[in-house]
Amino acid sequence: MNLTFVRKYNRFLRKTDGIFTHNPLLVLGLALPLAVIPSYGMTAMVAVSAAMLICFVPTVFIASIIGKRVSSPWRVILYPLISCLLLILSRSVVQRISVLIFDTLGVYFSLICVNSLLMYSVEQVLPKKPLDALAFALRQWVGASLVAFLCAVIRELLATGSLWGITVLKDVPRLPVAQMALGGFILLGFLAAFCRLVHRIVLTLTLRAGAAQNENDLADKERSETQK
Amino acid sequence: MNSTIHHAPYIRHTESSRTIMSDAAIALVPLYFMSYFYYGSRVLLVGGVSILTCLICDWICGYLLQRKLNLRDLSAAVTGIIISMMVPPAVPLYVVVAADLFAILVCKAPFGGTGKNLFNPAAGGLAFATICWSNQMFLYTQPLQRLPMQLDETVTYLQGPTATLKLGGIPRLGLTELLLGNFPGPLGSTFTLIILACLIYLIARRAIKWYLPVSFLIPVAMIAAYNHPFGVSPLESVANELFAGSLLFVAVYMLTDPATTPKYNISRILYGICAGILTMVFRYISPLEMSAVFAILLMNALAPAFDCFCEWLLPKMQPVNNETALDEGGNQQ
Repeated sequence: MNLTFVRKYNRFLRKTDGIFTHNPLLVLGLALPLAVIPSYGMTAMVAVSAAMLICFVPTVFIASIIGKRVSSPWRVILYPLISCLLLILSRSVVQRISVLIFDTLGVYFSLICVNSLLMYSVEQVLPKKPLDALAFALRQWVGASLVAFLCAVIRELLATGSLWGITVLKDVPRLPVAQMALGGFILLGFLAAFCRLVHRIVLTLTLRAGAAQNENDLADKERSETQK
Repeated sequence: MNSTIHHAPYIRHTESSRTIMSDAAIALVPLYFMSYFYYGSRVLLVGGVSILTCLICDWICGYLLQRKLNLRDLSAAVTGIIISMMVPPAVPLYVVVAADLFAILVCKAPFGGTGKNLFNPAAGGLAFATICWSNQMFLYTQPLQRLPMQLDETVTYLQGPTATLKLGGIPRLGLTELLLGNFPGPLGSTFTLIILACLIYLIARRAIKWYLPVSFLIPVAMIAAYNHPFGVSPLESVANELFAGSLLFVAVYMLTDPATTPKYNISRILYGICAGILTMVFRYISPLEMSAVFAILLMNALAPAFDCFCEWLLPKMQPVNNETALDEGGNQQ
């Protein structure tokens, strides 16, 4: 069996670990409240993503540096505290995106400091070098933000027919449930199933491509032998 | 010796998913006739669209999951009929289609299809439509007013008696009107007499167990009698609560779904009682009229817990005797 294409595909997946494979939202189910509630609209999701970039990524980076020197029970307190300090800084950035969003979403910005994704990541980077840890944190952030942003686009479009407040779909029946938490959870479930389907299709296609190449190689070999 | 090789199942029963669903479909047909008599040919359009959407959706899901197409599986059609029976006669068709899609794509197919669904698909679809389009879902029309196929400005919309009850008012409806469903309400779920006749048919055909709807209706009646409004007799209050909406329909057709109810007899009775109490709680505190549907959805999620509770309770209730055994229904043999 020719597995050249499968290996190429697997290599691509390994490089994008955290984004396409082991996606924190779709595969690991981490930080779901952060993805489900604020993703009712693009503005809110961009604001949360920006705050996450400021709070989550540096915290994980710091964790890789000081993690081994701090004992386990203290780590649980220390990292959310670091994240909280960074959240104060992120407020000014978030307010540039939308003035009211920090107060509108309220607790969901605070959840950036204490959530399962942060706790998972800070423990994962303990044996890693700081630069690898930074790359890991960035990949996790990109993976989570990408899925949440996709959710936000679909939900805003279905519920209000607009994107970033600009009307895109006119005279189309609206689906208000899309902006509710219920809609977010269902959409995330369907996205997870869809991604799994795409993965299977790609895997099947790569296997078929390998088999086809194998047949071509055999045919070429036979032809060359007959010519001889 | 002649022997034949045959695949499982080896134990067969005359009662199957197909027979239960075809019985349910047969028991729903008289309601269609009655609603056709009350509201005209638009009923057929709503019903047809609903059934077709459910069937097509179910077949597509089956194809995607690489399952063999089973034309004898009527569960999707029954879901479509139940949804169409619970919506108002003058409902926009996109609401019906959305409810059907939600029922099959979200409540049924992801759990593994027929017989494996955790939630009643029809209840899920109706709850979805109620949350999304609560305005359209509770605007009814006067019975015997023939509705045009294409809704226009000539259609007069009215509130149902359940809205009056929710606001603390008293719907002054006679017993005859309540029994015949001659008041503004859902398309086919207010015809009390016919629903009762269908209930008898379903019990006689052993498609449903009598104690499930009864255990659901008794707490509803008791709470309604106890909490009757001022100036209304307890009996009138009971009649209003039971027959002035789609509660009886829900008790007969949705609560008794074999896939979503508990497996033991005792847990089924407890399930029915809890669903009845929850329905009345939702009626008093929820802003939406279709409280029974939401109560059933919540109870569906708790159905396995009732079975677990029953498995824990039954051995404690039995005397310690090695010879006694329990059958599948939780009864002592």
